[in-house]
Amino acid sequence: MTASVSELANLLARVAKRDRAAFTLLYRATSPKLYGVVARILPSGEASEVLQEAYVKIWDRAADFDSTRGSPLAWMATIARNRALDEVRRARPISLEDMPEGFEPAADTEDPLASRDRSEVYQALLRCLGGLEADKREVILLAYYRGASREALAAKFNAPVGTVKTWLRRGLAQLKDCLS
Amino acid sequence: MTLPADDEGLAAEFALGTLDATERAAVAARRQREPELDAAIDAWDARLAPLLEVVGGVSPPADLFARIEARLATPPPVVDLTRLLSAKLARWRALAGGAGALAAALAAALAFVVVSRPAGPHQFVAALQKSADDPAFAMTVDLDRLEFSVRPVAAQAPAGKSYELWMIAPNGATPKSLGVIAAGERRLAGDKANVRNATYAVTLEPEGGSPTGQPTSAPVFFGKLVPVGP
Repeated sequence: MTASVSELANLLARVAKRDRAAFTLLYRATSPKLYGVVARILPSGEASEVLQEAYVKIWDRAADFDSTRGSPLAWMATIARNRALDEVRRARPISLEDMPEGFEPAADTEDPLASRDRSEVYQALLRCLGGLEADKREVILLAYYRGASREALAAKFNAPVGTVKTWLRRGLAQLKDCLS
Repeated sequence: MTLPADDEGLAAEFALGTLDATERAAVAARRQREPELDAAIDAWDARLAPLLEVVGGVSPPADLFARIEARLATPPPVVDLTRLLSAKLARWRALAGGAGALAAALAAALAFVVVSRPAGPHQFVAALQKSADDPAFAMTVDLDRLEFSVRPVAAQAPAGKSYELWMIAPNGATPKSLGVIAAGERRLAGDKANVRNATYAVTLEPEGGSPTGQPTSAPVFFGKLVPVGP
């Protein structure tokens, strides 16, 4: 994917004006990323269904994109991820073992030295995550990348669901303090 | 942001995705009407979104884009005229003593202008209007022959658009198209009581009329029939 932020913002602006050609280009530039996001949360059949719905929503709501509040790709990926979460929560109780194979939470395997070409906001977030206790950091990353529920996390960490909720809330609150 | 601590936690967990289905649906509904909660969720989405930078791409199925495009091609949504009109009609009825009489008087005056033959007992007229003193179309109905005609008083459709007339029976059934507004006498169909008591509404449609057979926009003008004769 080589499209820059301004190129994507430009495509989204054209999509907002019902430009089908721009929509095709936008899909080509962004669909592997968005599919990567949803396929870490859902099995492939459901992931492609969710990706369809996400792009229909992007088509419908392109005019809502506000470039002052984030990157176009983050806006689109958040739409796709939210749809995937709706689906995974509605569908059934799911354990981490049931989740799609072959994907590890990327931040776990990220070589800190290789993060030099990542954005400053990513590096700031990684520093703040690094400041959390290991359990709090891991539940947040598994939830974010894999769509893990509190129950699935409780099973994996062999802890009561209430404890997992406390880790999540405290970890997120610490993260917010650290980032502000 | 002065959100209660628990709402801040809910917003954070909503963005993270760890709420269960019930909590998630409740927060999704609340954010529609609570701007502060909505803003807190947006802020959390933005805080966590940098994590997506390191998610590697995976090629989606090759036929996926065609399936998405097919869904974009679906026809425009059907507008529920009955629902849109019910509030206006309720207000109209509430004003029955005053503005209602005014509307009736206006319709009768219009009838005098537009009905060329002597008014029989089955002649009715409606002023299709936005407000009580702003008629756009005059509609006449001969209930005996089940014929109607519509004439513009002040309305002119923008280029590339057509005005289409709809009949909405008093039982609130699906609006029935009476066609794009054009000169001449036209036939009505249906139960006479329904025709007499229906609401008539005009929408602005693509040139030539709604492609779906149902309204694709909100009504611009509407009115009900009043008798022409004494």
